[in-house]
Amino acid sequence: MVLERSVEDLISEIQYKAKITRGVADRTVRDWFTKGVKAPDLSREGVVTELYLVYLPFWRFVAQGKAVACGYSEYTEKTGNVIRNIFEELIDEEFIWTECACDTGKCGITKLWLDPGGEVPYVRGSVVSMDAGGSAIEASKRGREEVHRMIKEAAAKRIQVLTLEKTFLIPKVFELVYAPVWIAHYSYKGGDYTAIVDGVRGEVLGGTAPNNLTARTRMMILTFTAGGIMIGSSIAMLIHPGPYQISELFQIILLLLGIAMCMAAYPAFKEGRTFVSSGSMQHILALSPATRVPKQLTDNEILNHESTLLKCPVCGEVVEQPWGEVVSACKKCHHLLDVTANTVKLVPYDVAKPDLLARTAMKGMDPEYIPFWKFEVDFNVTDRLAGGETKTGLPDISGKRSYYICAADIPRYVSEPWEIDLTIRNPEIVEDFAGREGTYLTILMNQNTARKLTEFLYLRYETEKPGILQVLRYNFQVDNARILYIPYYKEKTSYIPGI
Amino acid sequence: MADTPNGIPAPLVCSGAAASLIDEERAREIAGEWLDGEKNPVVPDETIQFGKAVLIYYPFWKFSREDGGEDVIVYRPACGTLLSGLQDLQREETRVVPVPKDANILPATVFSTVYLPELHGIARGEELVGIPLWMISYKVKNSIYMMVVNGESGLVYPGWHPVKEPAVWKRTALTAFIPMVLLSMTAVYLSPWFFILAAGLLIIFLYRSRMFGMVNTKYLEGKDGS
Repeated sequence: MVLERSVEDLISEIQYKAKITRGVADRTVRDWFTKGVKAPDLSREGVVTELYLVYLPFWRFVAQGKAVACGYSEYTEKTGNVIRNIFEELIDEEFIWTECACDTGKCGITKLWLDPGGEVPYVRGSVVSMDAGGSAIEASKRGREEVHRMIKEAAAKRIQVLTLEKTFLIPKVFELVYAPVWIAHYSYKGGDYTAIVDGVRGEVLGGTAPNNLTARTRMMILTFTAGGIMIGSSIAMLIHPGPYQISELFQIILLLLGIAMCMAAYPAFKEGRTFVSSGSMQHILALSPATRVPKQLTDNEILNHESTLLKCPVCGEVVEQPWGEVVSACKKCHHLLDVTANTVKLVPYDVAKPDLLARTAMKGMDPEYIPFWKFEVDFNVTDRLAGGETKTGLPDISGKRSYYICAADIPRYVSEPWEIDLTIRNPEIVEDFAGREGTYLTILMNQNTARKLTEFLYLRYETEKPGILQVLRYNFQVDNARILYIPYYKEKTSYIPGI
Repeated sequence: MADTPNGIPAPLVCSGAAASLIDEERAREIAGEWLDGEKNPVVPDETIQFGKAVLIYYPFWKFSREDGGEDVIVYRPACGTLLSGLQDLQREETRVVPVPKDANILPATVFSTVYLPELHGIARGEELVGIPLWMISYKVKNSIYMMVVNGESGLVYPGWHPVKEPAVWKRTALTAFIPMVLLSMTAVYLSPWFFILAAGLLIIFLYRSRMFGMVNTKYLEGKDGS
């Protein structure tokens, strides 16, 4: 579910399986020769000199984007009335950012074209792959920034003036994905070109090809002829209007349009000798061997840590953290530990006892203990404005109260109603000091992420109230955070709370 | 391939390298000769500015096979590359020397087993050899290109390079532009019928572009427009 720890040496590497054979790739390239405004005899004269399979590396960052955006857009009617539409947007979607981790030069591949799904583990050396260059940490930062931008863009799509905007990013996966491509180098009348075929779906992704010279020459002639007529006519009319009663503004626009057309067409048709999808070889040094930059420890980190081994602060046991799990129990002393990239923190926790009603109703069944982050929060709302607000029976959850965020690997659409219910009810918890035997679900969300979700929980609750929220100013303070294992009885596919 | 105790595969190391017989100066000369060569009427006459030249040893798997009673040597790159000309490297068998200490050698990242399904004959041996390649960058107008020169044999792998075209673009633009300006001015002053004349001229331009010197006759265009 949520992966927080993107340490350099723990980046998972996966690959797509190549499904296209050499023969199919060759036929795809030859079909591509005949399409578009390429040289007409390319399919006859073009000679494929090399055709080989290579895996290209891509950084992929998947995150759940959550945002609340409020504001308005205005437009003026013909009568002069200003119409203001107020909006309240709630975003809760998955965002994916990808970036090519090697230089593909003129081949121009910058982003991964394949959707997640169907990947297999990548085994180094088992396929011909380009080496991933650059730092994973830097790539992760770029991914976060870009996803933040995507969330903001999605939230403020319809809104001209924002009065409230809060975005949250819950990272899910950061990984290195290898995608197979067939590289076809071919020559045509002394020139050397390249085409790239997707190794999974068999489509041409990009590359370079000689363009149709005749078509380009004709396009150049056509554009300059049109430009010449526009410029000549407008100049003549400006000097001496003659029988034409056309406004001067139109004549000037015609003149400028003609000049712009000629200026744009000349470089476009002159340089358009090949199809180049995108990308450049400006950074020629990037073709030298790419190396992964290891994470640099700061002086402070070096001074405060004797070694990079992570140890339990209570018993000193070395922490062996399973991949993806961010809070795990110490094997020796069974304390809960929040393991981040460089530190290990002790997490206080409680186990709630199932109440009498639940135990009686579910007699003979053992509950599953689902971990929740429990925050003591003080939400002090200083300013609130909503359009079309009506009184409802929904309780106010601002002020001091406990907020609950599910930390287990349970789909959010299932756990979110629990979180709201627990936060509204703030049930009395009877601690089970003796501890109980049972299934304790793994904690897959760390404190930072849960804290962000707490704020989002409040904002979402406010937006779901009748009326359109416009302004919300508040102070948000978290006093205490701990894990609370709450018993739930699993019945077929549903859960019944034990408190 | 041997594994180290903690499960990390041991790095692939070249057993030797082909001696680099061509120095930087000679490599640049070869590149310049190729660009000026009569065989390659593809590079424009504009000034070519040579940039950095780097000698890199590319790791190659050298497979010795016996195929149909003959000894065959096949080379395949041992690291991922998008450069052209390296997939089926041909070289004369010369003595392999130890890899120079200060050599810039790319790490081998591909196991030899990857290539075995595509090789013919009976396996007689395999080894990892570094082949010296000069990467020479050059600039034509505002674009930067790269050429690879084999440091052992002097063979050129041109890759992406500028292409000379038979079209004379300035002449094309002016030939289309000036008559149209004059004709349209005349049409405004005298008679709109001159616009009809302009349209006729446009059709002639489109179909007989060579007649007006728009296409350089040194590199004639094919009948089919290529």
